[in-house]
Amino acid sequence: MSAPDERWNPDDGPAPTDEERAEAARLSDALARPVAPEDPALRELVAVARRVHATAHPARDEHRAVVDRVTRQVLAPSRSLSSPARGLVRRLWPFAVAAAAVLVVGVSVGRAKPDASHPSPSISRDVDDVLRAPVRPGSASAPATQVYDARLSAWREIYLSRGSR
Amino acid sequence: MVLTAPAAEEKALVEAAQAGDVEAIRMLLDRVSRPLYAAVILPRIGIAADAEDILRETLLRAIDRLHTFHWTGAGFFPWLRQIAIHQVIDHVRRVQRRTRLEERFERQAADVMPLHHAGAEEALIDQQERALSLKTMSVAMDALNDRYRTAITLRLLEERSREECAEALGVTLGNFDVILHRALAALRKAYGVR
Repeated sequence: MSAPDERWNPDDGPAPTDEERAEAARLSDALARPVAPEDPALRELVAVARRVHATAHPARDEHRAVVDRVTRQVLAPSRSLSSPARGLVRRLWPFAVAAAAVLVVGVSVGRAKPDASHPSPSISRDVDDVLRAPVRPGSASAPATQVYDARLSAWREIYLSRGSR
Repeated sequence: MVLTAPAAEEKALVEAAQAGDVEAIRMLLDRVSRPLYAAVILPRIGIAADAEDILRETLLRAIDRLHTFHWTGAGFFPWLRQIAIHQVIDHVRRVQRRTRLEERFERQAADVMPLHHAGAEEALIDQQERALSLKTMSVAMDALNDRYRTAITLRLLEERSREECAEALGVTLGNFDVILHRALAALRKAYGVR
């Protein structure tokens, strides 16, 4: 057996640059891997190679596995609506999304700019009203109520003495 | 027109599927999905993950549009094949702007496939689709110079190792890699630019 010629054969085109050799080595490596490379230029060449291979070779078992998986996914229970029903859902969902968006915007705007003609009650004022109101022990005889009333009275004094508003 | 038994069976399946019978849909898709993937989509796309996505989209679209299918005697496969090729075209469009490859696929989608017939076996459909793809590839390969064609034939069609290919061409491994790289770049132009 004769040793391979180290020199570049002019019949194969102009002598390759180091950059081209590196690119060719990357392609060779990519062809040996099952996952397509990220680099778009390399990916295109790998795709051409795989197209040639897929065209020339009969379907393999892995094709069957892929098809089975996809078919199962496509026919999963959530997809089992009849065609007209699914078509209706597909047609209506943009309107549903639009309606939801309008609702969200409406609520946001409504909150941001309350109607001045109908002043809404202030939460802090309600709290103040509660705090200023006389303490009314529920059942004076119940020890738990007495403790609660004592604590509430103490808290009210502190709150009012600090000038809450 | 009198239908053959397989054609009558396929027609009955289609009618049941159109009535919403999920089991009938499953049986229909089972019959045709493998040649659809292995002989129609993968040879046009090359990248297995992309081909799988296209198969999924094709089957979903087919289910969505099942009610639009009208039995013409050619069977279910040519209709599904057209959907698949349009999905392939959409994919090519997303990857790049309009290309010769896309134009070629559009012609193939528009082609009436006289070879297919209702009730055709999976193996027959596969064989016919593969013959079409082989013909296209053969025309592209003929445009290459002899050394490039040999490199592709040995490595990809005959699945020989790099060492065997390099030895057959009388070059080093590194030089063989360069030849194969150039050969695939040349074939990309002739076979269709993605």
